[in-house]
Amino acid sequence: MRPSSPSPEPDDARAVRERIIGLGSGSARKSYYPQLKEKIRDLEAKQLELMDTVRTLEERESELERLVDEKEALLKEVHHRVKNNFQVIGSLLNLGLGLAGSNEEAAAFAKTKRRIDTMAMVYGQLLAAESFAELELCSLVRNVVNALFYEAELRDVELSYDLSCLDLHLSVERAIPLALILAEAASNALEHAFPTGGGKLAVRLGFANDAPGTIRLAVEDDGPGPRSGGLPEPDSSLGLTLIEALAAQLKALWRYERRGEGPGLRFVLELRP
Amino acid sequence: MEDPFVALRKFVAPEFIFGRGAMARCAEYAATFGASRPLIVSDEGVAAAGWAGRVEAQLQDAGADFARFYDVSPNPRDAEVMAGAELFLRERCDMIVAVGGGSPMDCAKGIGAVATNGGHVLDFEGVDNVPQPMPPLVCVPTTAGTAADLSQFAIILDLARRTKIAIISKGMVPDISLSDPETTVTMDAELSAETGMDALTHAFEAYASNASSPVTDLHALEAVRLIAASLPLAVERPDDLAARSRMMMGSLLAGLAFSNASLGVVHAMAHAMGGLLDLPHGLCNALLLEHAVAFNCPAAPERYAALGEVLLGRPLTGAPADEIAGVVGEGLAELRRRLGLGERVQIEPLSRRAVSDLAAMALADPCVVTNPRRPEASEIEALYAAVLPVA
Repeated sequence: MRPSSPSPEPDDARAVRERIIGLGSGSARKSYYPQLKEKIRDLEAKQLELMDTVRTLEERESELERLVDEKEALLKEVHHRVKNNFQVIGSLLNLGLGLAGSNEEAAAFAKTKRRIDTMAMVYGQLLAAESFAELELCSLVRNVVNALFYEAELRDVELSYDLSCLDLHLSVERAIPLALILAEAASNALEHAFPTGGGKLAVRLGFANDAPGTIRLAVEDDGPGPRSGGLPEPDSSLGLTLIEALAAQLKALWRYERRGEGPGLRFVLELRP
Repeated sequence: MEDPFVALRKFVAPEFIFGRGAMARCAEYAATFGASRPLIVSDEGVAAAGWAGRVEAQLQDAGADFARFYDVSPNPRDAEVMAGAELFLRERCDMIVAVGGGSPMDCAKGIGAVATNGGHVLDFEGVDNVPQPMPPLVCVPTTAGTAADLSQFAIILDLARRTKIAIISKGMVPDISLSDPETTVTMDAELSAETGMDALTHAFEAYASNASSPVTDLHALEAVRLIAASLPLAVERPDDLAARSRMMMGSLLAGLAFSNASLGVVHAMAHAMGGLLDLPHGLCNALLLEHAVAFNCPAAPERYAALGEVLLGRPLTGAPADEIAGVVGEGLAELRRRLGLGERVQIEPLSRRAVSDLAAMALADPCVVTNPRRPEASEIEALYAAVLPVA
């Protein structure tokens, strides 16, 4: 057992006595008010801190919005320039076409120009939609085929579409090869299937019934078919070589087939999901 | 000495409701303090007498949820306070209702101090060492003596040092006392006598204190008058509500007096002795008081003359100090004998070393600073020898 502290000295004793009878410093009567005030002060400080955080977040958000707007504007500008460049290339090819020494040379220029035009058109559609990641597939198909059809000036050929692809979108990376393949197939038909200048050209797009998720694109004519009597083969022309290469890029299957009993040829492209 | 009517003083007292039925206001005050979950602090004896259950029922009827802490021993221990504070925080309580005598009420004060300030209850030892006020505390006293329901004092047993520590702080004054004399009729004769002598000692020491004031004097003398007239009756006729009520009023007035004027050497010695020997606090006071009067009287004869006149109803003012000490001491001894409290503590003799340790602890007690005469260690030892067997 140890005694606590030594007995208070008279001076200490006086101080203790003062505090006991309530006259010393800190001898206030019990009051919750200072505690409450402190709590309120704490809460107010916390509120200010939170408001500050909210302000910072709002500033950061508008800064991010500004950055996104800037990036979008930049992206639009880039696509615009790409499209313009395609047009310049197209003009250069036109010039080349005018200066071509032979019909074959002129045809080569014309085909190249047509391919460049198709790519330019894809960019045109991107710019018009103001969406740079994806393209609406139906519009793309119509735009590609319409452009070729009107350029071919085959007034007696009847063009029809059967497109069931509600709101189907493709990424730009897949849309450009698909547009080029479609352009090759449609050009082939327009160039070879209507020797008399008349006939029917049908473009179909939809999901394959026998392969869920697979998009099937078909270009059909009612022309006489290849002079050889067979079907067009890969590597038999630059166009088909291109189709082969682009389809491989898309991991898509393609083929030419007879249209049932009647005349005509059908190009089919199957794009898996 | 400065004119006591000129000297700067203050008087601290809680709100109190006194009289039959006061206890029934408990739930009302729980609502007034916005409590959603009071902690009821009581002890087994008070629970067995049915008073804790009465408070529980009142809170229940008012639709209040509550928690209970009844593990309080006589001379409440620091570990009990810590367990109670832990329960208070764990049960997310927001108010304390203390039901009982000094032990549950002091324990409740310690619980409150720890609940708001953290740390250990012994950290608050001394004067004004409780920085933050405790949660609202409603006291329902069931004894007439301690006045812990009114005072700024809480006495806790430091079990490791085997001594009682005093926590004295304005923040320890309860918010309200609901003093219902009916709760005191279940006390047995011994408890009634011991607690009653505690109240008388409060009045004596507050009046003789060197920090007394006109307001504390008023309360102290009236307390002595009421206690002298009613204590023997309350002990002899436990169901006498008139005597019980006068005793409870005496305890209340003595409490108001000592809470503001503080105490003296009797309490300083009783804290040390009660802590070491785990004796009833009232008994220690009852045995020591007459010896302390004899010791103090030369320093404040007019004070003891006034106390003696009220206690015994005979004129003493102007008499020599030794005569006053003799008359008052004999009057106190007579009262003690009538109450059957004995002459000395019946224990194995203590060593001289133990008595000198007790004296050192008594001298370190804050109550000693307001004693009218500054005691030396040897004088304290001599006072102890008057009530304790020494080898």
